[in-house]
This record gives sequence, structure tokens and C-alpha cells, in this order.
Amino acid sequence: MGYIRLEKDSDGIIDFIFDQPGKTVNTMGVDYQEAMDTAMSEVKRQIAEGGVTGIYVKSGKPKQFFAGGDIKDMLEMDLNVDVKEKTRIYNGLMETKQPLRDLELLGVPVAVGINGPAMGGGFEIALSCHHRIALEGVAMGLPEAQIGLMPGAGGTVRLTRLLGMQQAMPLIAQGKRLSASKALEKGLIHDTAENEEQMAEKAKAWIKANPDARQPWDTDGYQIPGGLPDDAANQGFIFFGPAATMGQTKNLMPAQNAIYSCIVDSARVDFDTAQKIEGRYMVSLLLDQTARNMMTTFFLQMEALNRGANRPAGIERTVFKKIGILGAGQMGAGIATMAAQKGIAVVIKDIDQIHADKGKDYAAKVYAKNKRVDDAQAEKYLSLISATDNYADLADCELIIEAVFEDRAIKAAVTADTEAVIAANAVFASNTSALPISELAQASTRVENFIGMHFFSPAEKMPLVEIICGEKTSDSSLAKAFDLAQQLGKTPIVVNDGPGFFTSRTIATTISQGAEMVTEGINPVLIESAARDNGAPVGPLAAIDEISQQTAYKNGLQAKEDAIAQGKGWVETPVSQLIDRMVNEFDRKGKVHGAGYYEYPEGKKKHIWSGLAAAYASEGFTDIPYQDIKDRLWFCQSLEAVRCLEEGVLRSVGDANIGSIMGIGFAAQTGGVLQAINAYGLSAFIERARVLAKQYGAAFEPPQSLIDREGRGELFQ
Amino acid sequence: MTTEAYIYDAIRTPRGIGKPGKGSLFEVKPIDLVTNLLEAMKTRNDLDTTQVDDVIIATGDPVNEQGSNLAKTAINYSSWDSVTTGAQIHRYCAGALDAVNVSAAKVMAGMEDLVCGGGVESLSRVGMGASGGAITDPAVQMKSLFISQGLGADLMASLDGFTREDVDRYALMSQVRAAHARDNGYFKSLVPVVDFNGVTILDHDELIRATSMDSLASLKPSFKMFNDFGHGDVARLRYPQVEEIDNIHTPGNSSGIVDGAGLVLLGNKAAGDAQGLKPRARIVSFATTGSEPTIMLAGPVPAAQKALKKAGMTINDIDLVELNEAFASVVLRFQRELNVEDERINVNGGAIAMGHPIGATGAMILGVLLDELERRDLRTGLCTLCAAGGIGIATIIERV
Repeated sequence: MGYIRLEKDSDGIIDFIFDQPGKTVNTMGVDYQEAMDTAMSEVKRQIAEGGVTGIYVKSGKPKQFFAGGDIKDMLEMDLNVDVKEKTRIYNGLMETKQPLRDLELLGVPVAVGINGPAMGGGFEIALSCHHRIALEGVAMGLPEAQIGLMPGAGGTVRLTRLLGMQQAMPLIAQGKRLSASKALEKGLIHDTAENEEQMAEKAKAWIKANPDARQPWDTDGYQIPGGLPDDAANQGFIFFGPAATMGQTKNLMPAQNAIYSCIVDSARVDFDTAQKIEGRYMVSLLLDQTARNMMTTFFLQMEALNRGANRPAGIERTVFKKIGILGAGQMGAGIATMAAQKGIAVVIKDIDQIHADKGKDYAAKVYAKNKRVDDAQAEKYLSLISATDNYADLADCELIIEAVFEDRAIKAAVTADTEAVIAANAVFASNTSALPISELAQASTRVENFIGMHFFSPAEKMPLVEIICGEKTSDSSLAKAFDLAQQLGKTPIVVNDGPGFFTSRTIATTISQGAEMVTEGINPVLIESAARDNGAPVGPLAAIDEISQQTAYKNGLQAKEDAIAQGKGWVETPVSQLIDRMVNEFDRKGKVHGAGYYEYPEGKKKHIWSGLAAAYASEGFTDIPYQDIKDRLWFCQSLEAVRCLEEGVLRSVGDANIGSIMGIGFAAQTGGVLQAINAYGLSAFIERARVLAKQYGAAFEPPQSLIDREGRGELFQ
Repeated sequence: MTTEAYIYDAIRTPRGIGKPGKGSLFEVKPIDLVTNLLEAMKTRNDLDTTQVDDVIIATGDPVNEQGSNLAKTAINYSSWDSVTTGAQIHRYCAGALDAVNVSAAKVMAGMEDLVCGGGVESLSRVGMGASGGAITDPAVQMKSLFISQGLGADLMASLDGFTREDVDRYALMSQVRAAHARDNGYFKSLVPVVDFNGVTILDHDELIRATSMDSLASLKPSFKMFNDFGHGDVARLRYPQVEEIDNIHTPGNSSGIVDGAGLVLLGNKAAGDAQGLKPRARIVSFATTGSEPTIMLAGPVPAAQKALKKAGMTINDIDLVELNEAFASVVLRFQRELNVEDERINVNGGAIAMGHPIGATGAMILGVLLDELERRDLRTGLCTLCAAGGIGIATIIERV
């Protein structure tokens, strides 16, 4: 059976049914193109023959409308192609657009019934229909920008013409997904339906009532809402809009630039010329490394992750009803806040009732600030949170998250006290950010139930959970931790044990480089700017200010103590010495203490503390190439990730990429910490790392596994 | 003693039909037409752009997408070094040749070493007359006896006694010559317009069309409406000897409406040597002059005479002439007044066949002239245009 079925009813309405053979969702690949061309010629033939009163476009897949472009196809395209090949790609795109253009110009009314998610190419098909109806609750949108692309099958052109430049821009540039009701409100669809039968009835009734339907942009005298680029109403949009976009993307996202330019360029010309312009921008993105990075990580690897590639197979999914949290600090309270929002009952236990109550107060404050949470909802969520100072209240919790101080003795004590009351099969998860899980598990009598669940602060906002398996952690415990993370709406990566696991260990390298460069006398402003220009959300100096030098200092002392206790020896580094001076000599203990690498003047923007220059660059700043500063800040992280992979701390490349972007602010446009090496080219990366090692220290020496991998011609996949 | 100014290169885009939604260059912003040529000029000549002092770009309507000193904006937007400065000039249809002349003058004066002059016009995107302007101000019109330019062409033909058949015959020759030149690859100076992926958008002059005397004869006069709406009466205030203006100009024998750009690289000997460039021709002389503004199209003859006089030459010393085919009657008058036979003028056709992108044409036809002098291995050429306001412009070049 073909991809598209045509079934004419007794009223002369042709059901135009997408039903890709062998797939659960329809996609826009090579077979789509062929089927579309064939189906459109058949439709045209039947219209010419007479008796066709309209077209009803729908999906043959239950609850699935159309997923969009085939990203696997796109990933297989060669990036370095000659102009001849680029021309072929451009012509191919224009051929994909044509049947959709033909569809809206058939001369008969065309309605579409969106019975499930309509994303990207799927929504572009819908936009080519005159009348759009969706089932209540289904999601739709043009999310291409999130993977470095843009709508290239007429979606950018049509949405701009439908809504106007300023309304279309955020929907496309941010790749927003809209529910049917929101889409209706914004004018993206015309109607909603409760079920497929009602949707078909509505669509066909509309077809019968509107024999002369046409797209607004094909109607004489139609003007794009909000006006044209040169109109006074768009002055700010034209003059300040591009700067605002660059401010957000640091000019590192070609897709956002292309989308902005394309929306404005397309508004200046007729529809068919606009289609050409859209095609040209799309070609530039299809052949862009950034898009390739983002497709790899945010589509392929993310999909594998969400599907549960890391979750042990054959274990039934756990749906949690009640969990316990030890420690009502910001982290514990943050986890409780979102757990309650997901309908899970939470017991927050702290040392006394006053501390425990603070955790619940925190949740109340977060709900009050959240515009999407109304009073009734907040009350409901808060009713799910109970605060206590009594371990006994944790008795029926299915999983415990320990979020107390990073102090081995305290952690050991609460582990024993908790295990005394909870069920034998309850999971005990430590939210430590760095202490090895197997070592903490020594305090447990049920080591197979002991696991790491590393949330990021603020837990109610940060999307990642790093799950750490100790030596003896059971598959069942891992599966439960994984299920809870997903139930909380987080993306879980799974790693093996080791100091700092993957994320903390990796971010530590860039923080060290930042501090090291300060001690080398490099201008701290350049260090912070280099991080920004790499695409990092915060610089390495600001990051320490946030964590606080005081905490870093204490962690350092703990690490030193551990190392000595384990007979490993300890060497002071420029970094530990800098932190020591910051805390003990300069009394700049971090942002919460009012002073760090930055000054925090009241009511004004923070700025770099001039004392750093006085302490480390009294004769003037050390001048090294800006590119070196930038490379030092990210090469160290990528190299550390390679070591994590080599040592087995990392179990997959996808975990590294996604964990680095979602957990520690590695630049998204790189596709993550290992994809960045692919993009740079393994051999070029090794060569550059060696140059950096020679100039800036052994931290940049490429690990053997990387050299071997390059020798095999193998990418990180 | 002036410095010699040499032409090192002269390039142009193809001319695309200048109508929204119809022409291939409608999707191309004027700045991209310019940057296409800047990039091509740099690549073709392996040019160290830090050594180029200035780029002067003419535009017929320097507003909207063609406004704000398009030359400098294009340099900053292109891969050229930003040390090169840019200026925009406006001299109606004479603009691009004037940009070349001004560039040459800077070199000759010894003040600059390498300079680009050229022009750009997107009639599809910006449109003729987009800048409005003083020329149509009522008080100005009434005092200077302004009429539509096309009616000026009809008026000039009536005064000169040219008939519809005369102008159509010339138009047919332009089409035939342009098609022949295109088919035989004579337009060496043509650089395809590409998008930011390098994909070709247009690589040939798309207005050239097969035609015949019969089909030309069937076309309706373009400027009768202007005649009948009062401009004819104004014309007769200036030319009482004209009883009736014969509206002989049609879309078939007037210049076509197109988009395009042209760019010429000029410089002194030392600057060219330093870049390893071979001079293709030298600028012998140039001139601008004003003529009676109601007809406004009679400038080429006096401008050519002025340039010839400056050069100490006569028209017989000129091997080939490129005169912009604004209207067929402009060329016929020039041929008659200066006794220039068909074989020496517009030998590869002109704006009637290929179109006239107002501010860009002067640089384009200078390149066409130079290509043809080289192909025929001839020595001297004269390039001239009429322009609104009665402006005439002429440049004489000599191959070296």
C-alpha cells in the first residue's frame, strides 16, 4: 500500500490520507516526495474530470498526524559539498515545496484534520490547507530551530504571511510547541474537535460551505498583519530585533539569524519569490555544522535517552506515589516543589521542624511566583508536601533523596537512620554532586538499593538528573531512579561512579582553567567574555562566585583530607591557592557573602573586582591570544569527557553530550562536549590539544583513547 | 602632469527582468548585487582589498534598500577589508559611468591608487522614481518645463524626423546583436549572481527576446498617455515648431526595465603592478555636459564632442562606440550627428535588448565595450549615455 491513499466520498470530497508504510508516524522523507507528486497528479486529474468538491487531508495513523522531516536522512547528507550538489539540494527543496503550493491552489477547498502531534513538516502541510481543525489537546508547531534548522517547506513563508513578522518570529525562532487551544487562540488553526469523527464532520461541513476557499495570501489585496519591514510599526523590530537575537544567541546560532533574515526578506516579496528565499536559507542550515551538532544531540541522542536506552530492560516501570527528602535546603526543597507538582506526595525531613518547614515555605514561594500555578493548584501541591523532623514519617516512602551537606559523616548518619525506618526495597538516592557513591554506600546496609541522583540547582528549573551507579547498585534501583527522574519531567543521564562523576568532574576543569588564567595574570574580563563567546551561560569566575569561594574552599579541604586518608598524597595547585587567598587573605568568599571575583554594588550591575589585577597583574595583564583563552575553557572539558569515557565513568556519548549541555552549561550549538570534538575534527582537535598542552600544561594532553579513535577514523557516536 | 588611470577589470551582473515576481533578480537585495560583484572582483584578481582606497557606487534611486551609502555598507557586509571606504553618487542614468570617471579622476590626481566605480539598480525591488525628488515639484516643473522622459524621446524623434519604422529597425538590430553576442560568449565581463550558498540565481541576461519588425510594429506607444495628459502641451511651449508629437516609442524600442550592477577597478600603474594586475585599458578622457532639459536626452552628442576635444581626437579616431539605448531615437540622433555607421556602435546590442538598470548601466556598457575591443583587437572606444535633466556623459578609453 502506498504512502498516500485517496478515497472519494459520495459528496465528492477526497480523503487525502497520509499513512507511511512500516512506520508508526508519518515523516517527510524520500518516499513522501514521490507519494506526494503521484497523489497530487491524481488529485488534479480527478478535479479536471469533475465531481471533486474538496479535499480532506488527514493521517491514517491513530493519534499521530505527521512528525516532520526525516532527520536521519538529513544527518546522512555530506556537509562539504560543491556548488553543484548545493544546487541539487536547493532544487530538491523547491520540489518539496511545490506539491504543497499546488494543494492550496487546486481551486477546491482543502481542510485538514490534525489528529495528533503536527510538528515541523507536518505542521507545514497543515499550513498549506485552507481550513485547519485539530483534536483538543494535540500539540503542533515548527520546532526546527531547536535543532539548528528552520521550517523549509513553506512554513516560514506561510506563518509570516498568516500572523505577521513579529508574531511569527518567536514561534519559529524559538521552535514553540502549541496546544490546540493555544494554536486556535493565535489563529494558527480555525477549529478544534473532540474526536476524529467530529473533526471529519466539521471539516466536510466547512468544505461544503466554502467552495471558493483560498489562502489569505492568495486573496486580492491581502496585507501581512502588522505591516511590512519599512512600516513605522516595525521600526523597533527591524532596528533592535536583530541585536536582541544576537544578544540571546551570542551570534552562535545560524538558525536564529537565518530565521530572522528570512522572515523579513520574505515579507518584502511575493509568495513564490519568498519560497525561493526560504529555500536558500534552508540550504545554508542543512549544510551547517551547528545544525548537524544539534540534530545529533537534541534529536538522535535525546530520543535514545528518553526512550530509555540507559534503563535496564525488562523491569516494570515504577510510578511513584510518595518519596522522602532528607534536608530542606534549597536543593531538597526544590526537588520537593516539583515532585508535588507532578502529583507525588513528598515528606521533607530536616534536623528540626523549623528547618523542615522552611523547605515547605520555599515551595509555597516558588508556586506564588509561578504565573502558571493558580492558588487552588498551589494549595493542592502544598497539601502533598509534609515537613517533619521525625524519621518515622519516611516509613512508607518508596524512594529517599538525601540532600544534606556534603559531609561524609552527616551523610553516613542519615543513611543509617533512614534505612532503619524505610521498606527493604525502598531506594536510597544521594544527591551528592561529587562524593563517590560506592564510598557513601559503605554507610548503607542495602548497598544494592543505594544510588546517586545528582540534581542541579535550582532543582525546580534545571532539566537534568545525573544518575550514578555505585559498584553494587542493582538494575532494579537504577530503573526506579530513572523512572522517578522521568516522572519529575527531568532528563536522566546514567553514569558510573568516580569522584565528581561526569558533570562535576568536567565542569571543574573549566573552572580550574579560569582560575589558573587569573593567576597567570590574564585579564579576568577576557576570561569571562571568552566563556560567553564560546556559548557558556556563565563564565568560570562567575560560576565560583555563585557556588561561593567558601564552599569551594571547604570542598577542597575535604578532597585534601580524603586524598591524604586514602594515601594518595596532595599537591596544592594554583587554583587551590587562589581560592585560599580569596577566602583567607582577601575575605571574598562568594556572592552570598557580598564579594567574590566580582564586586556586587547595591542596585548596580556586578563587575570584576579590581583587586584581582592588583594581586596577579600588578605589572599589567599577561597577553595571550583570545582564541587560546576560548579554547582553554572548552578543550579541557572535552578532554575530561574523553577520559570519563575511557575510564568507563561515561557509558555513552549521548550522556556526555546531553549532560554537558543541560547540566553544566556547555555550549548548545556544539552539540555537547564530545560532539564538539567531532565537529572540530578529531585530528585537528588532537593537534590543537597538543599545542595547548605545550603552552598551558599537561591538562591538555590528548588521552590515548582519543588518539586511537582518531587512528581508527571513528567519531564519538 | 597627471597620473595615468588604468582599467584593471570591469565586471557586471546579468540583467534580470525588473518586475516584482517575474525577474530572477527580484529575490536579490541591491546590496547583494553589489557584494556579488565585490566578491567576484576580489576573487578574479586575487585582490588585496586593503589596497583599494574607495568604492563609488551610483544608484538611480538611492533610497530604501538602495539608500544609506550602499557602497560602504556593502564593503562592511562583504569580505573586503573595512579600510576601503565607500560613497554613493547619483547622476541618473549617467551615474555608474560617472562613478568610473570620478574614480579615474582620483587616480589621475594622484590622491588615490586603486578605486572602484560602478552602480546598482533593482528596479523590481525599489522601483523607478522611488525617491520622488525635486524634479517633479510643481514649481520646478512649471519653471523648467519638465515632461516625461519617454515623451522627450518621442519629441526628439519628431524634431529629427525619425519614424516608427526607423526606431523599430534599430530595436530589432539590438535584439539580434545581443542574442548573437550572448550565444557566442562575447560578454566576458558577466559574473553570475549567486546566493550565499554559492548557488547560481541568474547567469544570463534574461530580457533578450526573439522579435521581428511585425511584432515590434504591433506594440502600443508607451508615452501617448503622457502626451495626452498635458506633457505634450508643455513640450510645445518649448518647441513651437512641433505641430504634433509622434509617439513612436514602445516597450520594443525603449530600454527594458531590469535589475543589475556593474563594477570597474581602476588604478595607477604602480598599484596595479604591486597586485600583479595587468592593465586592460587606460582612461583617455571623460566629460559631462548639460543639454536642453525638456528633451533631456540630447546629451550624448555634446558630451562625446567634449571628451573627444579634451583627448585631441575626432570621432574617426574611435574604433567602437557604446551609447546607452535609452530610446532608439537617442542612438539614431547620435549616429546622424556624428556620422557613426551601424558597424561601429552598440555592436553587441544594448539596453533595448538587455535592459537598462538606471544607475548601473554606465559601468556595464563600459565593460561590454572593453570586452569587444579586446575580442576584435581594436584600440579605442567611446562610452556615452544620456540622463535625466539633460545630462550627457562620455568616456574615452584606449587599450594598452
